Amino acid sequence: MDKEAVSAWLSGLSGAHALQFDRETERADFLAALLRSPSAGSWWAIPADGGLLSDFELLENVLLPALAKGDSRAGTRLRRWLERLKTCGVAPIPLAAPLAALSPWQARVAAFLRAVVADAPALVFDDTCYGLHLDERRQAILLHGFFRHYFPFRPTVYVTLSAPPPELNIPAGNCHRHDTVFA
Amino acid sequence: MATFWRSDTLQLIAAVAGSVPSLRQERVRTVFWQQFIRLGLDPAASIFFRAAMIGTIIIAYVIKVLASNSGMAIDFLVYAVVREVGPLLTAILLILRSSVLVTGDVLQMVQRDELARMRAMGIAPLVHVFLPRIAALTVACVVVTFYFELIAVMGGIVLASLVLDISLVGMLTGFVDTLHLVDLVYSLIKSAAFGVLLGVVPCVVALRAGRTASDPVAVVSRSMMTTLMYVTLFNALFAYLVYGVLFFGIVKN
Repeated sequence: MDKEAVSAWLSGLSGAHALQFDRETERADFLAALLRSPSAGSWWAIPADGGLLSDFELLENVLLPALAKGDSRAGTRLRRWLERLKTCGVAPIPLAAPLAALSPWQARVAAFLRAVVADAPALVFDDTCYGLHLDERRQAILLHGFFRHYFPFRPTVYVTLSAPPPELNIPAGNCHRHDTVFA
Repeated sequence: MATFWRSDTLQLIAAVAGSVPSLRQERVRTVFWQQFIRLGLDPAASIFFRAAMIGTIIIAYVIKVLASNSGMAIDFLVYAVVREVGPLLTAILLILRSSVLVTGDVLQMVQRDELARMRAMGIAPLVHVFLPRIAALTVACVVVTFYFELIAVMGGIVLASLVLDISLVGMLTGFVDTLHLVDLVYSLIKSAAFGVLLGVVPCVVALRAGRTASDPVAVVSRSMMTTLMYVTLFNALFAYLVYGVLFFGIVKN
C-alpha cells in the first residue's frame, strides 16, 4: 500500500472514523504503510499486539517516547492516566512485569498509555476488540471513548475486518471501506 | 565483498561513530552495560579452561615435540598467543555466542517493525539499539581478549611449570623480557577492530534480510559466516600492514 496515499487520506480527517478491510494482509499492509508514511509521527497506532519495543522494560516502553521529546512531566501524566483508567473500570496493568508476561490486552493498554502520555495528536486503533474476552472487549470500547472524551478534537481511526461495534458511536458517514478510500 | 561494504554499511559505521557521545545519556549507558554483560562477560566465563589449556599445549608442544627450550616456548606465547591466537580465538568465540544474539535481536526488531515504530515515536534506533550493541561488543572484545591472553600465558606457564618441571620464575621473567609494548598495543587495536566488525556485520546482515526474511536461521548463519570471513581477512591484512609495511619490516619475528 502506498504510504503517501495513506498519509494523504489521514491528513484530511477529523473526528472518529472507521476503516474496514476484507483481509488480514490488507490491514497489516495499511498499518505497515502508516508506520513508514510522513504521518507516522502524528498518527500513533495501538496495534492488536501492543507493538511494544522488546529492547525496553514495560515502564520504559510507556515513558520513553514522551521523554525522548523532552517532556519532563511524563511520569505525572502517566500516574494521572492510570488513575483515570482505574476509576472507569479498566483493569490496571503491572508496570513492573516483563513484557513476555503481559496478556495481549495488557499490551494494548500499555500501548494506549504510551500514546496518551506522549500526547499523541491522533490515534489508530487496530481492531481493538478482536480476540478479546467479553470484559476486555468492554474495556477496549472504553479506551476509544476515553480518548474521544479527553481529546474531542483529535481524530481517531478504528481499523477493523468487520463492521465497527455500535458502542464506538462512529457516525455512518465516517465508516469507510479500504477499496473506496484507496482505490 | 564489495556488495557488503555498500553505502548503507559505511553510513551505519559513520553514524554509530558520530553518536558515541550519546553514551553519556543514562538510558543509553544502561543499555550499553546490559549488552556488555550479556554479549561479553557471559561468554567470558567459558574461556578460562580453554585459554589455560591453549597456553599449556603451546609450551608442551614446543618443548616436547619440537625439542626446544622454554625460551622458544615464551616466544611462541608472545608471538602466537598475544599477537594472533588471543584476539582471533576470542573473536571466534564471541561470533559464536554474541554476534548470533545481535543478529537475532535486530532481525526480530526488523520483522516486528520495532525500528520503524521507534522512528515514528521519535526514538532513534541508532542511539538506543545499534550504538549500545556495537560499543558493548567492541569493549567486550578488548576486555575478553586481554582476559584470554592473561589466562593463556599465566595458566600455561603455571601448568607447564607443574607438569613439565620447568622453572616458573624463569618463564615469567622470560615472558616479561620478550613482551614489548607494541605487541600489547597491536593486540588491543586488533581486538577493538574485531569488536567493531562483530557488532556491525550482524546488524547489517539482519537489516538487509528485512521484514520478509522467511528463514531466520539462514540469516543468523549468513551473519556468522560473513563476520568470520571479515575477521580473518582483517587479521591477515592488519598483520601485514603493521609488521610488514608500517614498520618496514623493522619489527621482525
